[in-house]
Amino acid sequence: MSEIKLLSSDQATITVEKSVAERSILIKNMLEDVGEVTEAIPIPNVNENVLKKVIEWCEHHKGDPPAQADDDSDSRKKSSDIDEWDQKFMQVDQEMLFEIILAANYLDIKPLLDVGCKTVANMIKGKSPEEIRKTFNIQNDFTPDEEEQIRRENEWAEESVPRSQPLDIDEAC
Amino acid sequence: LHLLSFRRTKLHDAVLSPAKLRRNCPLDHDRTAVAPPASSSTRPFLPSLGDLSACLPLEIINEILLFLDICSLLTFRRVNTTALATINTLPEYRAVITHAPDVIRAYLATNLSSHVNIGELFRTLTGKLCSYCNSFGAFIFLLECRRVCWHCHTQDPELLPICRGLAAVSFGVSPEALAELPALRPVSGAYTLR
Repeated sequence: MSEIKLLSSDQATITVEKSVAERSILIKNMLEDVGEVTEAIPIPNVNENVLKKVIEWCEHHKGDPPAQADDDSDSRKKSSDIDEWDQKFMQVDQEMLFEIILAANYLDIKPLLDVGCKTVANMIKGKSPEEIRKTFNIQNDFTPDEEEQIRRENEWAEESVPRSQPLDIDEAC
Repeated sequence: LHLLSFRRTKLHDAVLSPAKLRRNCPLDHDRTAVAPPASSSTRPFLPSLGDLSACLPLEIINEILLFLDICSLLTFRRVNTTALATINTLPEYRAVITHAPDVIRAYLATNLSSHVNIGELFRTLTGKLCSYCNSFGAFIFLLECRRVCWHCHTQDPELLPICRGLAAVSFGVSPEALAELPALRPVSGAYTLR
């Protein structure tokens, strides 16, 4: 089992199995291009902590079937479910979470990027605008009236049709 | 199963009427897309998306938004003007709201809007085949966000919704699991093909 070395942005060297590192399409393509490498591969955008975390994910998922080239359709975005191990893995502070997403994007590890995006999406889901603002420190520049208007126009208004009103001809036919 | 479920034998029993959808659910897209809210010209600066835009590039924020269900997506638009603009320019949202606003209305009307995400809806709308029999699918089966053809929609027993009570009794679905399942709110009024 061959191993390769990765050099993080803060100059830490991490040794990983080649097959694990190849979960990253960036590294995989690089290794295909240059062949055998003995010195450490610099990963200038990712620091040691984040890189370790990413490698931890890659090690756990090294047995996964490789994603098909255009697997864009059904399975990938089908649901926003995250498997249990990944959920635990993503229980990190917000800064770390964003760093992992950026690293996954840079290293081109699509499944990890998706897990990260789903995690953030789950932080938004089901929350009120005020809660979302609190979660991400977002400033509000809507007046209450404007916010209310947008809300009203984008929801189902059952009561707007008087009950006694007969059906429109064009609607009934 | 046929005995337990609602029978939908006539076409207009199962198709929502666009006219009613439009009347009860205006959707502000036309207005906000053309002109931003009136007071925005008086605003000295555009607010950011906070930690989101500070840490992540727009393309990743868009990826995240694609995982949001319609309900949360519409809520996120109310966060601030930048959030509104970000969603309005999200290509998938734009495409759906421009060409098929009735689908969004239908989801809001049937109370299913928290069960389908915008990316999924976009892909369903841009496909064309019935996902059950691979012939042309002219309808959207709201509960699963898939295209269906008329035959599968009315004849396939798998596609017939049943009410919660029956599901609990006949399939032994636990109350917790039941609450997780998508439930369709029937819309009053006429149903028509037009």
